[in-house]
Amino acid sequence: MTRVPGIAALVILAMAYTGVGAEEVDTRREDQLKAAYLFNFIKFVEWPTGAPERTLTVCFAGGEGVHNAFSTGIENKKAGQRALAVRRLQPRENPGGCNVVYLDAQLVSTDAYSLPADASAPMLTVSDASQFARHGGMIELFTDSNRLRFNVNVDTVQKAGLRISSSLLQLAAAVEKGGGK
Amino acid sequence: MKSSRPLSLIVWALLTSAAILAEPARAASRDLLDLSLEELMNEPITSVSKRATRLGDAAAAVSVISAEDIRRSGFTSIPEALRMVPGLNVARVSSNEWAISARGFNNEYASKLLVLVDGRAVYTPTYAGVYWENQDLVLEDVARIEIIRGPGATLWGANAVNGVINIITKSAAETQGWLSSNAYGTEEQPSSSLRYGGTSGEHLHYRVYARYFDRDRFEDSNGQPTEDAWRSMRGGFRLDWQPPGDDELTVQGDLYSSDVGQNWTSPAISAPVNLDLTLMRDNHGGNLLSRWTHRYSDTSSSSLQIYYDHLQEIYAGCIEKRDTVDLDWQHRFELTARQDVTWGLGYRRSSDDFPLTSAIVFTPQARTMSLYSVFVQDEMSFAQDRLQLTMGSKFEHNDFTGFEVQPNLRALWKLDADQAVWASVARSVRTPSRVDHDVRAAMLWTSGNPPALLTIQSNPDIRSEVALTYELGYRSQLNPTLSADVATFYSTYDHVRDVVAGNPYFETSPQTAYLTIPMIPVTEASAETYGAELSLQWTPTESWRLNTGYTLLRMQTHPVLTLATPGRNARHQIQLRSYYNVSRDFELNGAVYYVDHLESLAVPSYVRLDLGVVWRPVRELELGLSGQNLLDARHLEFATLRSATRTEIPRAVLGRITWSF
Repeated sequence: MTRVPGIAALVILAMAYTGVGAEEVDTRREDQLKAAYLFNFIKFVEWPTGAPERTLTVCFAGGEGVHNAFSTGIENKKAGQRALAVRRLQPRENPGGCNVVYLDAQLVSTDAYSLPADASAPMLTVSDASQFARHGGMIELFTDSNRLRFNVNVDTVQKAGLRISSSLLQLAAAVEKGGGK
Repeated sequence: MKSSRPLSLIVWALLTSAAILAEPARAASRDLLDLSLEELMNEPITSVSKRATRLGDAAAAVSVISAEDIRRSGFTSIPEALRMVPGLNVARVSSNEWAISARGFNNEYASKLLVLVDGRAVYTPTYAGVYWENQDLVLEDVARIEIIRGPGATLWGANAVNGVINIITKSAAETQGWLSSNAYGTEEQPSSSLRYGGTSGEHLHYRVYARYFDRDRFEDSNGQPTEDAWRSMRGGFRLDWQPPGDDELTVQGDLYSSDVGQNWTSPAISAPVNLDLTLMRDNHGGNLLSRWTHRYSDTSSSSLQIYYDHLQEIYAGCIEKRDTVDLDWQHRFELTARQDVTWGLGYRRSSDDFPLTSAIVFTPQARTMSLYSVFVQDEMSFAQDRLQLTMGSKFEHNDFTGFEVQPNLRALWKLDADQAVWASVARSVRTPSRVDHDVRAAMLWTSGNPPALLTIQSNPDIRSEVALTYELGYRSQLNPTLSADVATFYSTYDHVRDVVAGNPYFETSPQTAYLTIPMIPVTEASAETYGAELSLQWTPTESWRLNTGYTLLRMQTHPVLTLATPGRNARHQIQLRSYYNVSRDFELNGAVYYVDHLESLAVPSYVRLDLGVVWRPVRELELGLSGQNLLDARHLEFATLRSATRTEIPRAVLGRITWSF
């Protein structure tokens, strides 16, 4: 059963990356909100020593609307001391070099996604996919009563050597533990 | 001349909307990135409902009690949690009764505050008020309580004269897994909730809960028990279905049963004596609600809500049964790039029956009341969104007073990114209740020869109370750690309801002749109120947050009234709440409340101190210990005219274990 969404995700992924589904994206309000959440998450996370001091690279796998809203929104903005650079991931591209990865829900199904390959890489993963935090992702955005909420998986965050501020955890709808594949 | 005014308004609106069209589209994404996470969490994805305005952008006196506020307060009931709202006057009458109002007219039957639980009105048309003792929930499942002080009638309809309280529970998706919350203390013996939330497939979330509490009786000033213990049992569910696409469906329901101990002084029918009764009110009820929302586009959505509510209440002298069906449809769309229109239709049918009556008689015994309503509201923005104008009106028809019109004009002007000024003028009405219109209730024997029986006799010609409210407010993020909110108001009230004594007349009962003094509800007085509500939020460090509030209320009536006396309302109120995180797993919380004396009830002023510690040894487990009213053994907060018993509010200590997994 769970294979089906996996296959569907692959098909959608292939479509999106060959440009079939890549119509012009008008930034929807929901995407703008997701971009604003993403920007806030980055401000609440500490990267371990060794992470770039000056610029954090924020990568997007799919999620054009969120990408567009984020790119226009962060002009002249910093997350704490760091500037932000935005990159779009190509299909099957290794996300190495990314400090933050935003995965679009359409690319993630509950059992089929592969970012990051190395769980101990200090890479913050955020997605609007259902059950993302429970299945090894770090921060999961979801819709509730017409508002965006998020869940955090503290174990995967810790494993990656990242530190999340307690004020962020207090605002999370649920704090997950464990998970992974 | 007078008739040309609406016309000029329309012309003006057309001209401005044309100007709006010419302006560039808003740079919304950049604005959103400036918001804090807390602000984002209040940000609607689409403005689906009547309440989907950003808090900072509301041209109204709005406060929110968050789930965190409730958790940190140590309060175990909804009415107690409302103490945290600056501008509300919360006075506990006994263990199970509260007098709660905003901006005056406080009473245990306060009539000008509308209360909704997940969109379901819990304001009763029987006496125009709220059965606070029935409004109980698993507090951990409450997402937030939104309080609008001042008129909300344009959106919410009649009786939202001085305020609207929206109690909003978390969705099923936010309450997944098990939660067991148990509190035990000097008053709660115990207070327990059990909830399970699960999913069925990817898009359907549900939760079911059961709750039970047993609250101890309080005492009077001499330490005599006041027999106001109560027990309550309830259970319920919520289903949220969010299939991919643009539809959302919520179905929820609750059932409850309570034994509520209350003191009533009631006249005997057979002889001219008053009986001090201790009544165990065996109340029960239930409700079922369904809400479907559909999104047509980013700027257009609609919702359809239907609910059914049943309750049965026992009083000294009568039993009430009531069935209510309510239908509500709303549609919101973008008229132009700078104009949002929301409109809606509503129908409510409430059927009651008072089958067992003795001292209190309703004529007719059973009545079905219909309420029809239409509202429309237009939100316009000008000057790069810096000026927002909202105008609208509700048009209602009720069985007692016919058509009621409740218009409202609001404006918000953003001085800069961190400061805004707002103003509002509104007309709102409080429609007559069943008690105002249809009752004959023997209240009290007075001593004398011959004996006289004070009897409330309804007045079928009673009118609606009408309020005109002017408000002016200011909101500012003074710096990243300090924010301030000031609201001031001036309201005038016409046709204020009061009770006057009519001409006495003789009646002969089987035993003896006596005098009846009719007490007749009239709506001839006028009143005015003015005041200010100030709140400050300060976050000196990342782990410490302070909330302060000050409320000033002045009230005058012409002439001096029997029931709606200014002296039942606290003139000054001050509160200070502190949240301190010692470490990630350990919290210290405290609150101090000062409430001014109530002159006409001879209730002295009081200071209340609450302290609490919360410890999370592991994430699934939360242990709490809180002390409430620590400064005195007990104190008086209000006095009901219904009974000679004056119940005092005791010091309480409470331990709590909350386990979620």
